[in-house]
Amino acid sequence: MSAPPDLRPPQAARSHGTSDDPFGRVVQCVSPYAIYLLDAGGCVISWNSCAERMEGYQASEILDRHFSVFYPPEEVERGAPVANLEAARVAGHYEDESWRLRKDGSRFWASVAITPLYDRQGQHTGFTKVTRDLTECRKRLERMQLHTLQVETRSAELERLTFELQEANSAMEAFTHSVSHDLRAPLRAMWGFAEALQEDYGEKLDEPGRRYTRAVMDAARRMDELIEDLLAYSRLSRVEMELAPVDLEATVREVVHEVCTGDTRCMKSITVTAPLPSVIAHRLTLVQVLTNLLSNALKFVAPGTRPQVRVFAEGRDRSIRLWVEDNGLGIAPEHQKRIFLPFERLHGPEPYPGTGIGLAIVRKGVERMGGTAGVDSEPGRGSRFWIELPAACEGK
Amino acid sequence: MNTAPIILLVEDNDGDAFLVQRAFLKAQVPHLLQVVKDGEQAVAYLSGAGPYADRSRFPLPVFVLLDLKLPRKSGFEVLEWVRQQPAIRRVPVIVLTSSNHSEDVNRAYDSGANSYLVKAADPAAVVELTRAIDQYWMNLNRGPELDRGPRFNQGFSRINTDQTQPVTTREDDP
Repeated sequence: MSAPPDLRPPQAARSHGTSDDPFGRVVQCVSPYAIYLLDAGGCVISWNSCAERMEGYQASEILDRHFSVFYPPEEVERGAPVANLEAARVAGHYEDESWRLRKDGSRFWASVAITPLYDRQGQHTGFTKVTRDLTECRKRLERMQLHTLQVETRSAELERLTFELQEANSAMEAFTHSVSHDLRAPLRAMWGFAEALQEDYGEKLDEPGRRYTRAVMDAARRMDELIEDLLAYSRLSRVEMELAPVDLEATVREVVHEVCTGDTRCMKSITVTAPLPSVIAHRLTLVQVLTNLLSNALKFVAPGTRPQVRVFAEGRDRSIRLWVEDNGLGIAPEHQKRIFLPFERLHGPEPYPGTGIGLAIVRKGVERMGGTAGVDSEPGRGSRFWIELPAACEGK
Repeated sequence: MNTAPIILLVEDNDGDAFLVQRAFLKAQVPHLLQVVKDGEQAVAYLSGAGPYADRSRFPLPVFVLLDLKLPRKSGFEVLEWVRQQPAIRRVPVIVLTSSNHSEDVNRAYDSGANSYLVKAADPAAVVELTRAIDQYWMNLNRGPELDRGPRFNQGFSRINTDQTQPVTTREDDP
């Protein structure tokens, strides 16, 4: 292996490199690298202008001084400068990244490469030392690491939340399972035995006795409806909904037929104004929502009034608003918000029975389909309920 | 001699069992209802083991009405067990439960249920259901041949008359 050429400048040119010699020109060109020539003992013989900037020393201040002035005191104390030179000499090269010191005492993160130099006789004459200030680079790296750490922390957090959500979901699942299973068993007994009592012993009971039995059965029926509605409401929050274009007009007509159980007079009281453009929805949920709106419209009318319901649609910037307008009791402004909450009722069970979950199902269902729902009403002047859903593209 | 076929009702809830029996009466279904109260008893009855060894008194049912939530052995376990028994694997099993969960429904069919019915709270609906069961499973449906083996050959015709009163409420007390 041949020794590397002696890069050492002539004695006369010992300075930092504004000189005309080739070495000087080369080293001036390669900022941001600080390049030094050290003698065999580690004293600075020459350096480039970048080194001057990096270290903050004037050439006159540093020439012939030992290069350990660039090391922080603790590094000098443990003999790092000498050890690094020795390592370079033994291995032919030494590279390192560590803190270095400027003249003003501030530190910078340096990448250092030290290479020993030999003359033609193979005599060790000194070292080249190339230093690069990587402080910014290190800061960027640290920022990146911090960022990565934050991302990791956040995704761990997200994972935890997802897990918790799944846990909560399956707890909810188990809860509704238990409601439908266990809560219903005593209800069946209540209802069934009250009926058996009425049928088998009705003649032995007096009128109050028969009335009490009927009350038990009515309560059981209401509880059954409540459980059913509660389950429907909770299912709405849990079930995955695949949204697709739905023919609103056909769906409305189907629901009209359904809520009127085919009764012609009832169906005639509901006017559907075509066209009802298609919307993006989950069909079964939409059916549930429309069923509740239409049966409410038919139900909440003053005694003796024939219900008149009008269903029509209105296009609004990429969505369709469907109106269900009735000639019913109407709702005072102060009640218009809370009727969409579960279990809120404005009327006692007579003459308007119900569980108070119908409109909660409407709102929840429409929201799960990416839409909104509301009401526009005045007491005594009927109500206009509306739902708004994304419009399906024409022709689809 | 009464030749009324047996329906095995596996139901742990006495109230439910009574109401189903009452509904069968009201629907005037001419069949005997044999009630067992848990999964293990169902297995014992169907395999003719222990107290149910006498097939003349405890004949194989034309079908089983099976609740899912049962003590000792769940309805699913009973169902899976039935489908592994060469002698009785073809017995129609109708799940009758309060669970409306699609998970339960699917698992029941996967385990070999022939039908899945949900218990109603409304007594009128229970009578309707009973009538429909009778209409379909006893009148329309053509049942399988069961490989009864020699000890099962006594068949339905030898039910003791003392256990076949028109009232279909025969509790399992062998």
